[in-house]
Amino acid sequence: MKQLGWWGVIVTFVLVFAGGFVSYFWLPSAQLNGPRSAFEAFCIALGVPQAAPPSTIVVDVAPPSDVILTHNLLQPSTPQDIGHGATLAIRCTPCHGPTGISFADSPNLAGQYAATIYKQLRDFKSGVRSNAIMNPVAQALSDTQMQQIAAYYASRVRPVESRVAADPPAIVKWGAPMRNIAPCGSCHGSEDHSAASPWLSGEPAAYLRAQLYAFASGARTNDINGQMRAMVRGMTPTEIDWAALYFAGSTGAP
Amino acid sequence: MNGSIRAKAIVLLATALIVSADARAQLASAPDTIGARVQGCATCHGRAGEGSRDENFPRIAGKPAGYLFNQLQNFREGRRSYPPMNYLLAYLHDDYFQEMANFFAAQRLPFAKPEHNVTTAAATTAGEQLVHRGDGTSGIPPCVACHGPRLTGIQPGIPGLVGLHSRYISAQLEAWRAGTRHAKSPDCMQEIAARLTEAQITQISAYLAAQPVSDAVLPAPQGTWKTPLSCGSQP
Amino acid sequence: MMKPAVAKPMPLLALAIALWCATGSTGTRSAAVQAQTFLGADQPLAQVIKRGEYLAYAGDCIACHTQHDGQAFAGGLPMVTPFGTLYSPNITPDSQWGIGNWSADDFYNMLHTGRSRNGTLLYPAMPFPAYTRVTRADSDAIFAYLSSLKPVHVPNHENELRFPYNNRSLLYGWRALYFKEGEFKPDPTRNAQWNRGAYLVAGLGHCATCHTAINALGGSSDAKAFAGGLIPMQDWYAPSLTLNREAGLGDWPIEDIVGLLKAGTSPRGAVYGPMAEVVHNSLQYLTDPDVRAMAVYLKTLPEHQAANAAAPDGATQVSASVLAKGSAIYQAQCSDCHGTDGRGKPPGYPPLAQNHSIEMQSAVNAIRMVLNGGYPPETAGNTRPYGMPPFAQIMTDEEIAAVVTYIRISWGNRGQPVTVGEVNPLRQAPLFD
Repeated sequence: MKQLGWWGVIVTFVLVFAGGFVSYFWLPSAQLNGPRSAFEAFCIALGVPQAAPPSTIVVDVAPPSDVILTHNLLQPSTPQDIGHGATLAIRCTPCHGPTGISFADSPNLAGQYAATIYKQLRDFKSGVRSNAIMNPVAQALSDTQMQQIAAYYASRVRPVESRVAADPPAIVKWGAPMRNIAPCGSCHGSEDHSAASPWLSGEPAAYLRAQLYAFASGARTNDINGQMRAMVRGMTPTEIDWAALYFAGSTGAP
Repeated sequence: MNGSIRAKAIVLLATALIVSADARAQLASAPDTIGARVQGCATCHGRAGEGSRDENFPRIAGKPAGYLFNQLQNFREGRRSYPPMNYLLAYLHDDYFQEMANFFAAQRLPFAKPEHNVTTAAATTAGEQLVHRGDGTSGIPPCVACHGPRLTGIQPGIPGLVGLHSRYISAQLEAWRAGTRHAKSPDCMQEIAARLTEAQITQISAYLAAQPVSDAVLPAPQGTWKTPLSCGSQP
Repeated sequence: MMKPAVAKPMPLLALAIALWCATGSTGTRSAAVQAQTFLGADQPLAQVIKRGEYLAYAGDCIACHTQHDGQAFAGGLPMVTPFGTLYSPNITPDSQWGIGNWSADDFYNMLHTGRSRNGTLLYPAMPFPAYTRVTRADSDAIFAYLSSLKPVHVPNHENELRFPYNNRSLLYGWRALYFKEGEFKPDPTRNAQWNRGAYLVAGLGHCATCHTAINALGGSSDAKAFAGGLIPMQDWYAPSLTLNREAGLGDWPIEDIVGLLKAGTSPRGAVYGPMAEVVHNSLQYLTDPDVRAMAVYLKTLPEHQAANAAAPDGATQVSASVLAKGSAIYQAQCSDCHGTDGRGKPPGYPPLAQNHSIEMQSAVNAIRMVLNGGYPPETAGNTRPYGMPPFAQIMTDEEIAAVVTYIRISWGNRGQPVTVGEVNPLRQAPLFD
């Protein structure tokens, strides 16, 4: 009995130290971009905030969008808003197509969420999002007109998804948790989506790719709280291509 | 008794004839001119193509007839997408298009005042550089190489670039860049626009829209200069 | 006598050759081969093909079986319906995707019974309820013409119909309700011209397909044939061809009807919207006697007495302010062409006074004309059409409602006022796809 007791103590100590070593030193060290010393690993495990990692962080100096997304951001749209939006949207057809489905690489607007379209128009007008043609176009629109255009396009039929139900690429399906990249569907999901996160399926691949690169480089800055920029910065070019092709409806490889 | 009735009948008949003759005379036909026929264009492009205050609709008066003809064809064939134009032109034919184009090409109307520019001086300077000297590193020829030293255009198919709203110009350049506007191949404007950045499009549009115009601005006669690119729209 | 070793494969070889011949060669069968199967030796093939081409114009096949930027008769035109989108098939003589392997019997059965070569039921976007009236000889001629075209190797696009409409067996029910099979039977009490007109209007012309109200099942009632209806999804109103108050051909001289159908214009008005396409692609190619026959027939369509009762006076229902507004807009924007007295300068600027298209019960066409303007089609009889400009982008809903109300009640017109609620939805109507 005494022997068992001593053994018990020894085993307990061994387990405690082994567990402590694994949890506080070994596992934290095994991370990508891991700590430089055992002490740093220990502190990370305890949750002590660290000094900023070197240099590749982009300091955001662009002004944020002035669009505050609330549930009553848009006035409830009436059928007449859609009619007025239809007439206003005639001027959009050269680039965005007669039914809101573009014939080329400009984005499809048919069936896009009204809040998304409204936010982008507001951001084009204020200059927070920059585009040679959209900035002057949006500057000429009043708030009511933007809401009417948004209501009109939201009422249009989305482009038919031609994709055979394929398994999404890993970056879309799982994201990359160790790089703080959430799966796309957590905001852009088809069943539910976060405020003003656009519907992505059926958008031209070239457009999606261009926007992802614009977020990654910091050229596009109207994402709320920098979420898109934070995520896309960590994506590899291959992952960007896979994601763009997937949402565009292609089953092929980049 | 009979005489007075007969007299009244005659007066009545005569009145009726005069009135009906009058009525027939009033039912004139529409003027048999091309100008009367193209009133279908008036609300957007102006009664004689001078344009309107709405920046989305271009001035068409005084443009080269070949250019206007090509655009009418482009709308009918779908190379340019704009539902009101596609609808209006769907069942009209080339010979009539030529007549319409000739009509508007021959109009000599005062230009609207150039735009009060809202862009920066730096952007205007950059725009001037691009328009007059191009950008050799990106392979962008100067606009004046095809559109003329005074941006008047040249017969038959290259339009002038002065007297247009900046929003219209940037929309067309962006449409070419995005691939939603097409011209007959080889589509040289698409080639050029594909090499432009968005900032350059803004600069070019702002510079062009701010240029003063004189009413003497007319497309140069065909052959006045040789274009550096071969374009489907210009023989 | 062949040696046994050589003789053995001979029957198989003979069978193979026979099968190969029976199924035709790799390309399309030539029109000459087609002709042999159904023509008498006395009709030269070229003549039959020419007649078939004419009849194909009459049936306006090209309108549905051609995409906007596609090759003629190669199909692929999307037709949006309340049930989903249908795509027209390729009817060039391509052996894989078209009718290259069809026989004249197959083609006639398809027109006559609404069944494809393999027995598949056709969706009534193909107006076989009208085409069933086409005679065998005419069907053969159209088939000869189509078979003479160059085959276009373009695959057919799958239809995109929603559940349950993507189930073709539902068509048995539809056919039981709305399809009466049968070739045209001439009316012995009428003359040849009337019968020719009836054959063209009710058969190849398939006019009732648009000019009859369509119900929620996509069918229409015989009793209401030609009484007019809103074309679903396209949002133009196909006027009644019977009533005097609507398209009201009862008081139209034959010449004007012929002019409208063949040239696209007349002293009473011109054709716009879907009818512009019909005149441009179909009716302008018909002979004068044929168009005249159609006009004669149309003028005898029975009037619906009940609907002809006196309409309430629209003028009494309009407020003075709306009237004043409408009048001011009319004087400023419309009177130059249509005249202060509404009589226009026909045929270039149509009259609005006593214009049945303006005063009819449905205001859809009048509103859409103001919104979108339009040019009548260029035809041999109207080579330089006069156009009306679009006002959608420069007038508000209130202004359009006021001016359309004004023209519907002025100069003795018996129309009803229109409201903003009628104008606004038509801004979304498809203009050109």
